[in-house]
Amino acid sequence: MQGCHFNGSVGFKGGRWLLLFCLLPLAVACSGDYSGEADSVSDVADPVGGGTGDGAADDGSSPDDGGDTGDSGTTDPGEAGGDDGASGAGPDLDNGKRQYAQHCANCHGDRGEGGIGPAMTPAQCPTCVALETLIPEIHDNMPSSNPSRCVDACAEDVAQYIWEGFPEDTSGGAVGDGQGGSGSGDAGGDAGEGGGDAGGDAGGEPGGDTGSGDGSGGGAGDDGSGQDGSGNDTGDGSAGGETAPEPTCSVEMRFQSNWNVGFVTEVIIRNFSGAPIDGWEVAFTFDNGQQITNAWNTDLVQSGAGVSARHVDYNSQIDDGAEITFGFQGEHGGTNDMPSDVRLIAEGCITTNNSEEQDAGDGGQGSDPGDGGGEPLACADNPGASRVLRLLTRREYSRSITDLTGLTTDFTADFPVEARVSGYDNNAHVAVVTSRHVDQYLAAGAVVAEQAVAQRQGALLEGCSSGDACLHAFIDRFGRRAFRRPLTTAERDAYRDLNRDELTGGDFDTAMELIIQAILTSPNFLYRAEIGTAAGNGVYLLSDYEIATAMSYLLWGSTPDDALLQAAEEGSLSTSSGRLAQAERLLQDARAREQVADFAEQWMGAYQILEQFKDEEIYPRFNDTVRESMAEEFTRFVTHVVFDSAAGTLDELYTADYAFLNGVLREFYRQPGSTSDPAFSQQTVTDGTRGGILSTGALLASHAHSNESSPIKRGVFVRERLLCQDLPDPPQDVDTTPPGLDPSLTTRERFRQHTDDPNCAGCHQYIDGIGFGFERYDGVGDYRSTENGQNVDDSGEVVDIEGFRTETNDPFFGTRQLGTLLANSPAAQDCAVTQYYRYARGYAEGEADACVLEDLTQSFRDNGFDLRTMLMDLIAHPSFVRRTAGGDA
Amino acid sequence: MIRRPVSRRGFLRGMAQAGAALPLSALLHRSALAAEGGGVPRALFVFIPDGCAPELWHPSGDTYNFTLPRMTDPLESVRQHCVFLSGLNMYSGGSTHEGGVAKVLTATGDISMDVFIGQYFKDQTPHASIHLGVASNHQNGSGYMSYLGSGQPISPEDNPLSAYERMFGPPGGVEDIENRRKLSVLDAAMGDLNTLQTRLGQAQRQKLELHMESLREVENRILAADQAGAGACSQPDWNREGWTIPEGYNSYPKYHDRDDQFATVGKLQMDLAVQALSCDMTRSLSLQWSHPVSPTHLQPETGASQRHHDSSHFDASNLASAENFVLYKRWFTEQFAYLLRELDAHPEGDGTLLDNTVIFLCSELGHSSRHDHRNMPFVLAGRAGGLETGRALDYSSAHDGDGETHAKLLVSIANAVGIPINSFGYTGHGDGPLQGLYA
Repeated sequence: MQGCHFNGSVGFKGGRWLLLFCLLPLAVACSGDYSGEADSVSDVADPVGGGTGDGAADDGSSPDDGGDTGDSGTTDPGEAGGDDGASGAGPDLDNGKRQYAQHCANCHGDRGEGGIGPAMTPAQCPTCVALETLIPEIHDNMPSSNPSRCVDACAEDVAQYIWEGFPEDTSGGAVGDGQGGSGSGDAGGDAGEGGGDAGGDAGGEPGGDTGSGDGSGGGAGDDGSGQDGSGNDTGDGSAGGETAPEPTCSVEMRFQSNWNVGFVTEVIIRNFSGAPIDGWEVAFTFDNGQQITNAWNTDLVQSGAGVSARHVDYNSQIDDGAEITFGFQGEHGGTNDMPSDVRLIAEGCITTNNSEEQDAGDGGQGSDPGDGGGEPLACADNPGASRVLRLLTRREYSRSITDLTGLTTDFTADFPVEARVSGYDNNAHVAVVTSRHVDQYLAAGAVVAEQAVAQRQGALLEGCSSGDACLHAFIDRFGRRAFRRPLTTAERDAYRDLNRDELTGGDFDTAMELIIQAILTSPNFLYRAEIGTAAGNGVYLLSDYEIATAMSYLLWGSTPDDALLQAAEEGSLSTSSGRLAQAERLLQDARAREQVADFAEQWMGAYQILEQFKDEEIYPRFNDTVRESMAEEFTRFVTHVVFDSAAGTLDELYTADYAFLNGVLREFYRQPGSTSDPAFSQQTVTDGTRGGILSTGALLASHAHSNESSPIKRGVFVRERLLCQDLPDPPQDVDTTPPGLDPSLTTRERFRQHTDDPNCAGCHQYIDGIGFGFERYDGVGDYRSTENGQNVDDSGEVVDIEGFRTETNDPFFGTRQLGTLLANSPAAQDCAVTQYYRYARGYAEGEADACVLEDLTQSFRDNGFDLRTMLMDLIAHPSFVRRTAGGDA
Repeated sequence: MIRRPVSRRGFLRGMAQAGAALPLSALLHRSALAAEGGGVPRALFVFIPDGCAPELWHPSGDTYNFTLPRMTDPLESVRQHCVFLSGLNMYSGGSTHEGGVAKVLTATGDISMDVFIGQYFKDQTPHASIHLGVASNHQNGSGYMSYLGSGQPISPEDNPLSAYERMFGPPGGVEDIENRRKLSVLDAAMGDLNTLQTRLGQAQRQKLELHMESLREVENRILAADQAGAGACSQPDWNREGWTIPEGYNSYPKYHDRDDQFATVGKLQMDLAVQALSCDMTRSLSLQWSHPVSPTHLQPETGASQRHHDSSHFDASNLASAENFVLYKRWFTEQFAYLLRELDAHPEGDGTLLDNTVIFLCSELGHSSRHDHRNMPFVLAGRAGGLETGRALDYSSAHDGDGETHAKLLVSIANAVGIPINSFGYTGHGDGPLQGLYA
């Protein structure tokens, strides 16, 4: 495998691979039910699309915002105006903008960043490199559904608008107005990036650096995955234009010896910056599966191919003019290339790339700075995630209270409901504290405090019940648990000070209540911090307490216990092995099972089983008991596969031949055995109607209507949730009315119109074929072999399972065979990792996460798709304890 | 304080800074208002789901002599308070239900108009903005209309009892020991927040600034020893039936279906909205009925045999097939008429609360079957800012017959409550207010 690269693939829009290049009809009747009731797992647009994360929140509408980096290329008046000499007063930019918004943006993105249609970069849009080619392309072929809709002047106007980089202010005609930061109106970083791409193209000389440079670079860099990568042009302008700063440090790596299966490597760091360095880290990636067995003069962690070597106490400081040496020994399988991406991370250090020799075999994606910002970077330097404060979800708050106080009531019923992003309730950007939050935190805190003191005082106090010393000990102990770190002196004093006569009258219980309420209203409790401290090169290292917190909320959905805090105090969580030791312990706890179930419910959208209405007249067999049994079946199945099964792989999750049933479900599913036994047990399903996650009632009913099944919801579910291939919204002006219930037809027959209608087939070929394979399960997950007196055809097909235009077609019958297809699909395998990553990180991945995800998916493959290992890998990975400044510099 | 139009972000920052310097004296305004019956302008945003059948919603006729079709004719009794708007489109942004609800109050910008207005006046009222809902979170897979910032929606309060408690709960004043304790808790939280701020970069600091504003709002409410105002605004008649929240209403278990509570909760929330505006609890209030792709079924109330969203998928070529949908829209416009009558029943100065309020009835779709954002079912009501009501205005001939952008309507709403902005969000069809609304 190659080193980690930020190859800036254009297809990686909004952090998700976009699936389709479909020629969308703009005004046809596609009946469908894409926006089915309560089934859209993606409630709000992911606000932190790609790349730099917080840059997305910048709408550029304020002059002092300046606009994010992606935008700068779009708005340079000199370049835009300069290129446009031929246009004069001809094209009407305002009209171009309007037409683009109406007829183009739906497929190509608001700012040409691409979507179901190609991005407007040279690699994806060859005709975009010059107005002379762009105008006829639009005139002749666009919009693809109806090319006659935008011809002549319209085509010229739209082309000009695209050519000028989607200017926000089009009132001044064809010439840019020179306003900085014009990215307003676009929600999301992807738009910003897209603007950057297009702007870079437009800003450059036509056919100049972007055209030729990127064309070849992109072509050579294409990994053949069918996702049509390339497009590194975002970085072009700046990377090409900057002169490299003078180096102040160097890092040199060399073999001391290298034999057929092993090697010894020495690394020398030199400091000539004029000042001492305090603390350093060297990161690199092995290309040939090398495994380090021993290291000296360094604290070294290897995770997959990635290696991070940090200073030890006695060599953390390197004086000006001094050098230090460390080394390691390892094994290899016959090939032992020197890592090509050796990086030194140390505050005050600037290095040049000192390993040019290794670049030759790099497939053209290499590190030539002029060639598109594709300089190889190790994941350790690029953890992906930004520094962030993550507000506790209602669930996390509730579980934390339970673990802190021993009270088991849920106090969050009136808390504001989280808005889901990419199906998850824990998005860090979306969650902000409104005054209603504050009111509810105050109210809940008061009730918790009162009940805790009344019912749990003995357990909360350690062997005392009155007096300042007792109260102070409580503050230290409870504060440490609640803030997940020891209190600072100032905090301790502030909480002690709450025990003032005018507030508490000196009453111990009152003081204790007040202190509990205050601690539970503090931002130090309500947010879990992933802030870290600067470690140079824009990387921040999380503290051991922050690591403990990240681990416990990921694995338990709750606050760390004493043992984990103790491990943090001992400083043992900054190493991969230290974290793994604790993580293994946490996994033994029942809370870990609940947490994995929570992940699976959100990943699969199965939580909806508990809230969705189902029509009792159409589904008389379905009731609340069945509903709750299905929810439990789902939980038991998932936790069994992950925690109890010998195999415990993704394959088992998709293809198991057993189900977890109680009497209610045996009856509902028509399975042999007791129908009165309330206990669940594992049961092999011999008739083939159940088995694997896809045939759990919770999943099937969640992705269906109240009164019928839904091939479309289920098809979209598989694409978006299981393959991580996002589908576009249906275009505006399309009649998406689903076909009415018709007692003489099967659901499949009624919905078949999509795939038969060429106007709809462009998109629905990717959806309906999958959904039809679920047709033997009705809207409540009941198995049926006939519908309206006809046999149910459960044949299906997955078109382009690995992504758009991969030109494959996989036919199957029923969910069992679909499960096998998915278990063996690299897209689905990678997607499992991606989904867990989203859940763990609190955002949908962007380009900056590509390196880490590559590591994690590789490791998942290397470990035979073992799910438990997948949970552990994320925690072991160096990125778990590193953050970037992101937009939060 | 001098106000001038500035960018919205700069404006919010400015408000945040101003907020720090504003003690409870600003809140004295509230009782003053109650005493004088003054006429400060207020805004009320009412959302109903899933669009309309345009032919059955928009009036026919001319500006003053128009006929309301079946979906809107329940507004006949209050037509003198309304302006029926045709030919308004929502441009740019996302499509279908999800895209529509995200832009109906933002016009694709970061912040929604209800939040924007609330922030503008937040120094003068106990609550910046209030967001009420009727089963708006239940089974909501499609999103919300109120946005605090980019991609940061506000989920409405669906529990009227909890909303009431926040507004009309225990009175403020530092005499009360409970209040002093709350203040000390808030004080500790602010101290911790300030310390946390110093460790963070810009983006997270903004998150904490919002948090700090929220703490200050609650603090100011507690500090305001406004016994007289609270007394004048106590609401003995509210919830006279003594509705209590059913077990599990706000969270699972065992409440999959909110339909039996829908009308009751709706009336409580409408009454509460009127009381909140009447008492100047806020200058901006939103009420979200259900949510896009509404699963609501109001069989006893409407006679409809289908669920709301199902009914919205009528056959566009056969209006008779929209009958269930018509029944729902009629029910919702009846509720809106009730709301207007209630506002009109609260005297203020020489007129009524309705005279000082601008009300925006909106939805996330235009044509429900086509899922488009054209010819939106928008109604403006009330006379804040001098709105000339009792009219039907058609903007469909603007921009060479394409229609007019709804972003201008949002500008007009801001102008109506005295906020001098010239654009809000999308400007692809120009800026400025919607022409012809105000005298």
